[in-house]
Amino acid sequence: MYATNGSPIKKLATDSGVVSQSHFQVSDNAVVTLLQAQRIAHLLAEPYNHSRGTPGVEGMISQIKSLMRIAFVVVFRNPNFESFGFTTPQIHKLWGEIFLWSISVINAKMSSAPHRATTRYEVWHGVKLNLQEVLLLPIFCQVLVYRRTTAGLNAMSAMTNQPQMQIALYVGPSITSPACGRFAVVTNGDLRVLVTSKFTSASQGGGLNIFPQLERGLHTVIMRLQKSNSTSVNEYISDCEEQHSGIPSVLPSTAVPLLQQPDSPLLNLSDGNSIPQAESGVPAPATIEAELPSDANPHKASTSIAKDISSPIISHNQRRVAKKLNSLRPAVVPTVPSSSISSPNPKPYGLRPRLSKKAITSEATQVSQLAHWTDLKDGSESTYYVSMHTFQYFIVQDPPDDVSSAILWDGHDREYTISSVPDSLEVCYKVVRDNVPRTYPAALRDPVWSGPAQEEWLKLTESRCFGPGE
Amino acid sequence: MARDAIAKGATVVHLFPIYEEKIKEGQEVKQVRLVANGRVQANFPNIYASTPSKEELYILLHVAAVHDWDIVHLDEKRAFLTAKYSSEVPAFAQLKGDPHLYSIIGALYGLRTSPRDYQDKVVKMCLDLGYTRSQMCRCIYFKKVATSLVILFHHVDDFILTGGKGEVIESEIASLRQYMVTTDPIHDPTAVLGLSIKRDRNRRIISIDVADKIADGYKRLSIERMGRDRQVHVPIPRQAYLISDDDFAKGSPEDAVFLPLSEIRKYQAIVGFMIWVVGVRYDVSFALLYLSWANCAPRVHHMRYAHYAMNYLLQHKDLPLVLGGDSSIQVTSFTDASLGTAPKGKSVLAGIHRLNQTAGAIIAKSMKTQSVWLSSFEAELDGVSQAMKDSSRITNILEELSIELEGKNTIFCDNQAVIEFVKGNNNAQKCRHMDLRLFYIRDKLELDRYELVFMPGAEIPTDKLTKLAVREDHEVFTKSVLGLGLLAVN
Repeated sequence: MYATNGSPIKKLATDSGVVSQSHFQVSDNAVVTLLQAQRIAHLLAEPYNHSRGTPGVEGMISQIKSLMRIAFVVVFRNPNFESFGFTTPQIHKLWGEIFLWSISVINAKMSSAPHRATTRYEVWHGVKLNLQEVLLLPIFCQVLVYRRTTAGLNAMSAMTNQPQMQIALYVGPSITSPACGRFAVVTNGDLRVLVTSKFTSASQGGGLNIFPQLERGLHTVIMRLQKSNSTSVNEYISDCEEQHSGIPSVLPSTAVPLLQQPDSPLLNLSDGNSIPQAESGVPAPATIEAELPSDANPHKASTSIAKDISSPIISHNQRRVAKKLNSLRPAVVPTVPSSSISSPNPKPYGLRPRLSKKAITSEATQVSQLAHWTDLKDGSESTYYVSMHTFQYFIVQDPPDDVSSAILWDGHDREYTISSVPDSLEVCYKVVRDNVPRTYPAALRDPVWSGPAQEEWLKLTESRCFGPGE
Repeated sequence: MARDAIAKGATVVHLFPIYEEKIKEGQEVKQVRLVANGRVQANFPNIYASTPSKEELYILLHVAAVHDWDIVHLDEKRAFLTAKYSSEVPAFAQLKGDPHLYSIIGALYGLRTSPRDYQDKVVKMCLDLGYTRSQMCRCIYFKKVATSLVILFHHVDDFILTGGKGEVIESEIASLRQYMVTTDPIHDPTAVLGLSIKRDRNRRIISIDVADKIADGYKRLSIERMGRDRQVHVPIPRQAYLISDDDFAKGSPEDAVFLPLSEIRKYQAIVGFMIWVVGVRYDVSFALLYLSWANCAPRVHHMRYAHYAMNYLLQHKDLPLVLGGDSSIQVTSFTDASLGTAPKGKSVLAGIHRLNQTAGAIIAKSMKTQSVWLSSFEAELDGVSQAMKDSSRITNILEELSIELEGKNTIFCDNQAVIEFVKGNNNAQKCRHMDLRLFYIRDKLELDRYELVFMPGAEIPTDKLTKLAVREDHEVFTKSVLGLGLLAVN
């Protein structure tokens, strides 16, 4: 590296290691031979000295080792590693490349001292680091590199004279060629390192070979088709179409008043600190109900939205799951009104009112979550449900109303017993996250939470926490 | 106006609602709290607010127990909202769904400055009422009314009042309630700061337990229940102490497998819960230390014994920490070290501090050293210096509160060489790097306030804070460290 920068090494100073143990000895025969061939003088120092910079050197070595370790962890823990086409020994052989990469990364790193905000690269070369010249990609990311010669790459390439792209792994920037990277490829079983700037489709661990993903996807589709006995293939396809059609964006007429923005501030400071009233732009709960159709309150409206969305994808068994889970009321699964589950009339997709994403209530989300629970066994003493979404098993034993008999299994065959929390423990407030308005103005209009929300506002205004703003 | 202020550097804080509910007298009660989003706030200067340590509370409870003082608990309602926003950075609040801005003039919940603002208010109130703020414990205030001492302990919005005479305490409560709106005062409370407290005034003892919290945590964390007939007598069995990769290689391959990310979160939740519990349940201190070493990369083995330790806690959830007893107060400390038994060749130090020979410990801690010690002598010397510091702190707190101490502070150590070395009776070579600790300990001993005494390793209670124990030893240790002997009926 030094030689490439025009500064050939004349002297190499190292510690002598532990002389009695050859494993730690720096100056073994290979090193001595190499240094003699390069005409480099070798200076040996004492093994360790607090005051002569040895800690700095050792600290730098630890940084390099740490980076190299990270690089190898990244590649070996990549779930797509098997599809890369590299064997583990081949990756290990790249240690020298990774050594150079880690040095390049350290040289490009900004100093932590704020008054010396510069890189080692700049200190050495005297110019700022230009990242267009030093190609830094995520280490071991997968790319397609251009191979000018196609001969010998594979059998297919031998039959064509078209340019070929080959899957490669990025192993560091090139030190000698600006804007080029070093890429490891396997050609005819041999590991080679290319220096090139002609590459494309960099993928950080995702893998460019689509066949394993395709295989997994097909397997999932087949399994789902096999499991959904009550759903025909056509219904399944229509479900898929619905999911991919995007979420509509026009609000239903009943939901419009709920989502209006207040025109005036909640806190009317001009006439003192008053709690929000209908005339200040935020309707009080009674006002809201008056504005809605006779059979509508905000919850009913949202329930109808939930019905429209969830009905086509909820099977009879899944409704039974929801009912049973409602009866158990553990903290594991949120409570869902049974009315929202047993909706009978799925509307044709074209006639369904289009909704904005915000209009989807948490109830609808819960119902869609319940759709992940699948009945595995029925008509026996116990009923089993499995969620592929959370990878959990839920077993409801007879009698189903007995809370203490509900057992939850996780994917590691560990048994969890769910039992109701005795009332004696309910001594402090617990946070509610489900079925709650998302904003405070919405809470002021919510039939369930409007009372506590107004009480809170009253406390804040009485405490004079707010002053006039804008 | 607000826009101009924001342009000049004012900060905008977003408020969002928190929904809460609880069952009260069989009915569901709901409440909404409007709090500031703490993730995106300006870098306010001066936001530090002191928090009392557990030891300070235990010292007060111990002193109140042995002197048969009244203990009264007060809780200020909506405490923070009574304080004013005092930062020099102007702040505006904005609600999602409401385009308007409101200037903040009160200490809103969630604001980074609110704890400091509220603390300033409390300090001012206490100084107005004639209290002196403790230099050692910044959340303790005290004053003398005639000959009676009154001590006020402040923890967020909770106030614990204790002192010599009942009528003086009542008068102080009335004074405090003129300054703030509180709940009704609870005399001899049964629950304080999440701890269950039982008091026996005849025997002058206070028992503290966390049985409800353990039961709650057991359910919340979905702990795997061990067989109904299986009794768990120790937090973790001795054979489960595996540290290095070689240890795991010798055991079952299944146990050596690292947990997936979702399981790591569960493991960390269990360890986090135990960290809270160990504030009272010192008998699981070393088990917790062992489990916490694997907090970043736990294996199946660690998860299994985390469940094991939780089962131990559940089966012995009623074990209390007993303070009080003997009316004389003498700081007694024990120290021990275990060389090279922690990961990466580090050592384990342990210390126990109690206010008399029979009471439960005020402090019992077990910790890994920051450095690798090369000899047991060095590790023990470190342990003694740590114990000396803790003992000194307890003494300073008690002396500042004018609590009378009897005799010298005694520190028991199981290494004779260290004792002789510290006293200058023994020559030690190659220990220049230990000089700082040595001179500190010698200085303290020369004050004639401290005493370093030898105790055999088999008897010293700190031994079980440096290693796992078998059932018999663990039971003796538990009885000693929790002060269970005070509960025995004569």
